[in-house]
Amino acid sequence: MSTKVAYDLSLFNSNGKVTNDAEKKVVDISQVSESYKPVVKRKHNFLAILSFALIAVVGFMVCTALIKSDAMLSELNNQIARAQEELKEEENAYSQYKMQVESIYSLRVIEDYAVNVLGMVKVENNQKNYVSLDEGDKVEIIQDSENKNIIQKIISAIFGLSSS
Amino acid sequence: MNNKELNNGNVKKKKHIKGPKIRLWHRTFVVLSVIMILFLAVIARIGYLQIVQGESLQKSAINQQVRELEISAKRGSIYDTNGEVLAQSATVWNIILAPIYIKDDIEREYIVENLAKILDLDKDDLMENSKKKSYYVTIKRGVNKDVKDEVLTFVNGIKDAIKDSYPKNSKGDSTYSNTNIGSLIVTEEAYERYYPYQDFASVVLGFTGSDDQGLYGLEYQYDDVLSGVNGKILTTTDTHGVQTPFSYEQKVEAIDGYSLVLSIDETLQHICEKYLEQGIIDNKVANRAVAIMMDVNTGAVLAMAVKGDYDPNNPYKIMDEELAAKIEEIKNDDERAEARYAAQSAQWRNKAISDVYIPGSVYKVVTTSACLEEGLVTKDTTFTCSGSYVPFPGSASIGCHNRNGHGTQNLKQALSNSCNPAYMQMGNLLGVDNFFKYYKAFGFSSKTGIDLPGEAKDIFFTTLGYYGGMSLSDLAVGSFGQNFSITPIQMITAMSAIANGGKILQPYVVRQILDSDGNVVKTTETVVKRQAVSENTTSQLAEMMQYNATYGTAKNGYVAGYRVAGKTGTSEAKRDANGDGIKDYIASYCGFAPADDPKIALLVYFDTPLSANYYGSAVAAPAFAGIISEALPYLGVEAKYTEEELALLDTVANNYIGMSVAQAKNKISEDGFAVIVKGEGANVIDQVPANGEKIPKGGTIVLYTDEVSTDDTVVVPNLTNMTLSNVNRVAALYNLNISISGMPSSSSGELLSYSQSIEEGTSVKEGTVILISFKENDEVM
Repeated sequence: MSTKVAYDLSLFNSNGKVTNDAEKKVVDISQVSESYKPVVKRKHNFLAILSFALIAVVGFMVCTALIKSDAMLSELNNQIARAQEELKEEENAYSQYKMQVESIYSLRVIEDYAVNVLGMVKVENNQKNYVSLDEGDKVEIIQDSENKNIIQKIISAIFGLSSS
Repeated sequence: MNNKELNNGNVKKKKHIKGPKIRLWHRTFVVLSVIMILFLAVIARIGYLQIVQGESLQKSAINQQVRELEISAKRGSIYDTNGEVLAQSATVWNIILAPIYIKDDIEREYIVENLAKILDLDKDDLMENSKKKSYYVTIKRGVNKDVKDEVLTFVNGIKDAIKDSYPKNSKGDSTYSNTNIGSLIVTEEAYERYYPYQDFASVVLGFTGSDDQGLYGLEYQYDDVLSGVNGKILTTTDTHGVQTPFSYEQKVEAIDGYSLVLSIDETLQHICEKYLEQGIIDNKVANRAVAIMMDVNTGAVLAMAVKGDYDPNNPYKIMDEELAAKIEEIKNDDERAEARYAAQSAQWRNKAISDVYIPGSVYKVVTTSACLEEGLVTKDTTFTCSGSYVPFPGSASIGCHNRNGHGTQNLKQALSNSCNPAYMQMGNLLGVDNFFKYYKAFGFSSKTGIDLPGEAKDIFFTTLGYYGGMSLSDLAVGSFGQNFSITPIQMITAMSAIANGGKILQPYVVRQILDSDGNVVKTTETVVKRQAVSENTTSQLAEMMQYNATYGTAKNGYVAGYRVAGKTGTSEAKRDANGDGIKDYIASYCGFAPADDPKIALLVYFDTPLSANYYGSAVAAPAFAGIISEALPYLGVEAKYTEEELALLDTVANNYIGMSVAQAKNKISEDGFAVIVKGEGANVIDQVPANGEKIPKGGTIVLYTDEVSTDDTVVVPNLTNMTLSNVNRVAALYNLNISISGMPSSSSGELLSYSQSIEEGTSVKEGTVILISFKENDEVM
C-alpha cells in the first residue's frame, strides 16, 4: 500500500468498492450461472432409507388390508343378508305348504274319506280296551346261567361293555 | 460507478431495470388476487347457504331424499290346545308397477299381455294402469313366492324378448334402448293370514282385514297382542325413488306379534261341528245351530261351534248359496249392497255369545236348585199336575205340554216330566225376590266376561219399570224358562256350576299367550266368581238330571256306557225369522257327563227347526248324545256298561272263510248267529259281515261258497220313520243286519228311526250291517 494518498484507489474495483489483496478474487454475481449450485457432499444413511421404505411398505399394506377387509366384510354382510332373506322366503313357503297339507288332511276330510271311500266304520266304545299304566315301569332282569364257561363269560362281558 | 462519475461528485441513484422475474411476480400476484377474490366469493356463498339457509335446505333435502320404509311385523299365530295351527300369517308380495318406465306401445302391449296372464288380471284394467305417469301403481296384492319369482323373471327377460320387434341399426343391433326397464316392477313384502281348516271354528277365530288388522272374533279381541310392532328402514333415494347404494341407512327391527294357544281342542270342535251340521240337515234348521262344550272344573271352553258360519280365508263370500243367489237378483244397487252386508254380518256373528234366546225348560234346573237351596222343597216334595195350572188368583190358566196331566209327582219326576204346572208351583214357593236372587247368583244378570268380542246382555223382566221388576205372571212363566232371554254362554256356565258343586267359573277361550320364540308370556288361571248354590244341592240335582237323561224326557240324550245328566228345552223364539207365518222355536239340550264325576258340560241348540218335530228331545238330544259318545272316549273316559246295556250291545263276526259249509254252520251256531248259505260250493270263500266287523247279537251271517254267488246284491230299502219292530221286519226280508243307535235304556213313548247309515237304493251284499238311529218322538217343551 502506498503511503502517499489517502486511499489507494488500486484497491477499489471499478464500482468503487474497497477490495484488499486478500479479497481480490471478486465474485461477480451477474456472471454466476443460475444453474450454479454449491455442491454439498452428503453422507447417505442407508438405514434411514431402508426404514423409511419399510414403514412406507408396511403402511401401504396395512391400508390395503384395512380397505380389503372392509370390502370383504361388506360383501359377507350382503351375503348374510341375502341368505337370511332366502331363508325367510323358504320358511314362509314351508309354512304355506304345511298349511295346505294340513287343510288337505283335516279331520273332516280324513273322516269323509274313511267312511265314504274306504267304507270304514268307527270302532264301538265297547270294543275299546283300556290299559292302565298306573303301576309304573317294570324292569325285567335276565338271570345269567351258572353253567357258562370262561370263554362264554368273557364274550358276555364284552357284549355287556359294548351295549352300555 | 466509473471514475468519471465519481469525479463529478454526483452519485446518481441506480435506475432499476424491471427484470423478467419481477414481471412474473407481478402477474402472479394479479392472478392470485383474482383467484382469491373468486374463492372468497364461493366461500361466502357456501357460508350463506350453510349458515343462513342451512337448516331449511337440510329439511328440504331430507323430505326429498329420505324415504321411510315400514317393515311389517309378523302377526302371531293361533293354535288349538294341542298346538295345531288354526291361523297363521305367511309372507306374500304386492306387485308394484312403475308405468313411467314404459316408453312405447310395443313395450306396453307386451308387458300388459304377459303380466295379465301371470297375475290373472283383467287386461283392460292393467292397460289403463300402464298408461299412468307414475312410479308406484299397485297392480296385485298378496301373491306367493312362485308368482313373484315368475314376475321378476319375466321383467328380466323383457329386453331379450322384444328387442327383435324394433328396427335394427347399421351394425345389425336392435335399436331398443330402454335402460330403465329393469326398474319396471318392485315387489313389496306383506303378510297374508291363512286359516288352514277353512270354516273350522270361524266365528271364534274371526278374520283380519287388508291391513292385517283383526276385524272379528279372537283376531279382533287380541289384535294388540297378535299385531306386534312394525319396524322401519330410513334410507335415501334418488330422483326416481330408487334407493341410493352405500347410502346412510338406519333400521329398526320389527317386533313380531305374540301367539295365542286356545283352550279349544281341534278334535272336540270337529265332533261338535259334525253333529251340528248333520242336525241342521236332518231337521231343516233355518237359523243356525250352536254347541258349546266347557270343562266344568276350570271354565275352559273346549269347543264353541256355530254352524251357518263362513270361511275366514274368504269372509266376504256368502256361504248360503241360495241366499247369495237371491241377493244377486236384487236390481237396486244400494239395496243389493245392503242385503249383502246384512247376510255377511249374520254369518260372522258368534251366535254362542252375541245372540240371546229364551232358555225354555232347560232353566228348570236353576229353579230346582233355587228351591232346594232355600229348603223349600226336598226330593220327596210332591206336585200335582192336572194338565194346566192357575198360578195366582185372577190369572189365566197355563197349560202343561201333557194336556192330560202328570198327576202327582215328586221333584225328580217333575223334572223328568218337564211339568210346567209343577214349576209354577215351585215359582210360587220361591217368590219374585228369591227367583231373581238365584237368577243373579247363576250369572244370568251380567255378562260372563269371556274373552271374545260382542257378548250380549240378558233381557230380563222389567214389568215394574226396572230391571228385575217381575210380576206374578212373569214369575209363573219365568219358572219354566219362558219370556226372558239369556245367552248360550251364560247357560253353559250355569250348567257347569251345577256339575262342579255350585261354583260359577270365569269362562275363557285363550289358555296361553306365547312370544315369537315360544316362551309363555301369560297363562289363564281358573277364576271362581262365586258359589251359586251348595254342593249338597248340586249333587241332588245331578242325580235327578241323570235320571231324566236315562228314563225321563231327556233320554234321547242317553249314551250307553256313560252316565249322562241332561235337560231338554223347547222355547218359542217370539219371531218368524224365515217369514213362513209359523212361530219359530228353539230346540236345545244342556247337560254334563259323566254324571258321577263330571268332566264336561255341553249345550246344543238349534234355532228354528222346520221339521215336523221341533222339540228339544227330538232335535237337540240326538246331537248331544252323538257328541258325548265321541267326546268322552277321546277324553279318556272309559265306558262302563250295565248288564242291561251289555245285553243290547253289538258283537263282532268271527272268521269262517276256508271252512267247509258244515263246519262253518256249526261254528256260527255256537257263536249265536243265524246263517244263510249262497252258492253250490263245498267250502266258504267269502262272508258278510267280514271277520271282525260289527254284527248285532243274534244277527245273520251270509256265507258265499262260489264266485257266482258273490255277485248277488240287494237294494237297501227305506228304514227311516219306522218303529224298531218294523225296521227289524223289513231288514229281515232283505237279509240285511241292523245295528241300533240312540236306543234309551227305557222308553215310554214311541221310538222311531230317523237315519240309516246306508242310503235307500244302494246295492249291497246280503248280510250287510246297516246302522239305524232311533229317537223317542216326545213332544215335550
